[in-house]
Amino acid sequence: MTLAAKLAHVPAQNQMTGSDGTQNLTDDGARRTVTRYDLARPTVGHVRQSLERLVPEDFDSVWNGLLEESGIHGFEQDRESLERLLTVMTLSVHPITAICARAQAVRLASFDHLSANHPTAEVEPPP
Amino acid sequence: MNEPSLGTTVAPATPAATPAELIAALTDTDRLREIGRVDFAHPALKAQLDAITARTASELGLPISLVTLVLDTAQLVVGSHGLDGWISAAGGTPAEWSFCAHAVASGEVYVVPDSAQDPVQRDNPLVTVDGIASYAGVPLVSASGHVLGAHCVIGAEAQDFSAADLDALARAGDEVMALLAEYAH
Repeated sequence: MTLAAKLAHVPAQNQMTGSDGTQNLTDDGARRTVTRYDLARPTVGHVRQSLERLVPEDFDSVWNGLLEESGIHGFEQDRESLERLLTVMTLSVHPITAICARAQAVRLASFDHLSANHPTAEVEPPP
Repeated sequence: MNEPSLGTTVAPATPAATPAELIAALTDTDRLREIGRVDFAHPALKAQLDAITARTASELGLPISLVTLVLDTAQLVVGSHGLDGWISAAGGTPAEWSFCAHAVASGEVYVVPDSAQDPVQRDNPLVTVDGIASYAGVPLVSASGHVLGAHCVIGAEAQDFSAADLDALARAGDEVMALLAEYAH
């Protein structure tokens, strides 16, 4: 797996699944990527994976606290949920949480600027 | 930049960090905590870092110079000269494209004289799409030994860097690190 894939990979269990068992690939463009850059828009799942890597021992308490404060469930793929989560994280007294949010905000801003000027494509669902 | 001439040492391309080394360095939480203590959004700090990058770019004769802080999944540009376009607007880039991340992972100067020929960087979209043709960066090492980011120059054409270039970059990097320490709490 490439470095980009390792940094951006979202575990399958974090992806939104519809009532018919199909994954929601079109919710607010969450599953789109800027093809020339191979950059997918960050999601709540990307944030979760970063925090799992950064605070493995405290992850459950940190994550559950963030979900409660931001009023989300943790499996959303829409932009609004991501932005609510990042806002809560940015204001967090936990320094690693705030840094993680700052990094994801740069990734989101990168996606926004690049997708405005380059073609995007739907990300292939995992097998 | 200082023109390499007969008798002038030309710095060779330096090895890039492996993906495992990059991930280990970028997710070092002690390092990230130290970055978190820097008030990198302070306007006075940014103004001083911008001034250093302008001087570095001028001394080395290159169009772009940056000060970056490399986080776990992205690099922040906290001081810059000559940067425009989407990287300036976004305030950084994803970490997987960051040249500076290699200086952070190794703790050593990272030199890429010709990005298009470099086995690690030739497929980087900052090279293939945005046109970064050459790079030299020095790590920003804190008093406690953590590498927070890098001070670098970027060229639009392939070129060699002399030992004098890297000395100038390193001296400016020391200034940058002293400033970052001044704005840490």
